[in-house]
Amino acid sequence: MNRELESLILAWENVSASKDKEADTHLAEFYSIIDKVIERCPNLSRDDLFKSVIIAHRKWALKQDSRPPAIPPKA
Amino acid sequence: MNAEISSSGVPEIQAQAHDLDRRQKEELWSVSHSFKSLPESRGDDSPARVAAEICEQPVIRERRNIDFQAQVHDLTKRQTEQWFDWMDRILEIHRSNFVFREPTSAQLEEHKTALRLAIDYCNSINALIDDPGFNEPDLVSRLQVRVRQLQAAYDTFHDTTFSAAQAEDLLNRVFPE
Repeated sequence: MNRELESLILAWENVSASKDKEADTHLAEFYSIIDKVIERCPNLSRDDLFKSVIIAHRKWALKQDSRPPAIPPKA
Repeated sequence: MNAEISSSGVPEIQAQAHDLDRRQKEELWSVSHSFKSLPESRGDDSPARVAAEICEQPVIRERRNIDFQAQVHDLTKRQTEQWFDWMDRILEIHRSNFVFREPTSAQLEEHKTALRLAIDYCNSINALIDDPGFNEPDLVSRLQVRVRQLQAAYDTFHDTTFSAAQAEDLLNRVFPE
C-alpha cells in the first residue's frame, strides 16, 4: 500500500478509536495530512478525498486480525 | 476474515435516545413550571396574594428571570453532555459492529436510521448552543467533532453520491503503488 494512503488510513483509525477532545486532536492530525495531499493535487476535491479515505479505512478494518469486541445489545 | 454480528445493538441505542429525549423534555418542563407556578393574586389578603405581589416587584421579577435563565443554561449544558455520551455510544457501536464486522442488510437499515437520527439531534442541539448569548464555545467545538464523526459513519455505508468504485479510482490516481 502507498505509504501516504496508509498514513491517512491510520490517522482516521485514530479519530475513529477516540472520543471527545482526544478525537479533536486526532482529527486535526488527519486533516493536516489531507491538506498536504491537496497541496500536491490542487484540483482534487477535499470532500471526495475524505470520503475515499473513509471507504479505504473500512476495507482496511475488515482485514485486521485484531478488532474491537462486538458490542452486544443493552451492553 | 469477515465476522458477522448477531445483533447490531442499534434498536437499543435508538430506544435510549427516545427515552433520553422524553426525560429531558420533562426536566425542562419541570424547570419552566417551577418558575411559572408562583401564586397569582386572588383579590384578597391571603398569604398567596401577598407572595404574588412580592414576586411581581421589579427587583424580585428581575431576580427570577436571572435565576430562570441560569437554570435553563445549566440544564442545557447537562443535557448536551448526556447527548454526547449517547453519541459516543452510537459511534462505538458503528465502529465495533459495522466498520470491523460485516453487518446484514437489515442491520445496515437500522444503522442508517439511527445515524440519521443522531445527526438530526446534533443539528437541534447545535441550534440551542451555537448562540453568542449561550457562550459555550467549548461545547460547540465538542459537538462539531461528533458531527464530523457521525457524518463519516453515515457516509461509510449510505452516501449515494460517492461509490466505492469512485473511491478506488481516486485513490489509485492520487496514491499510486
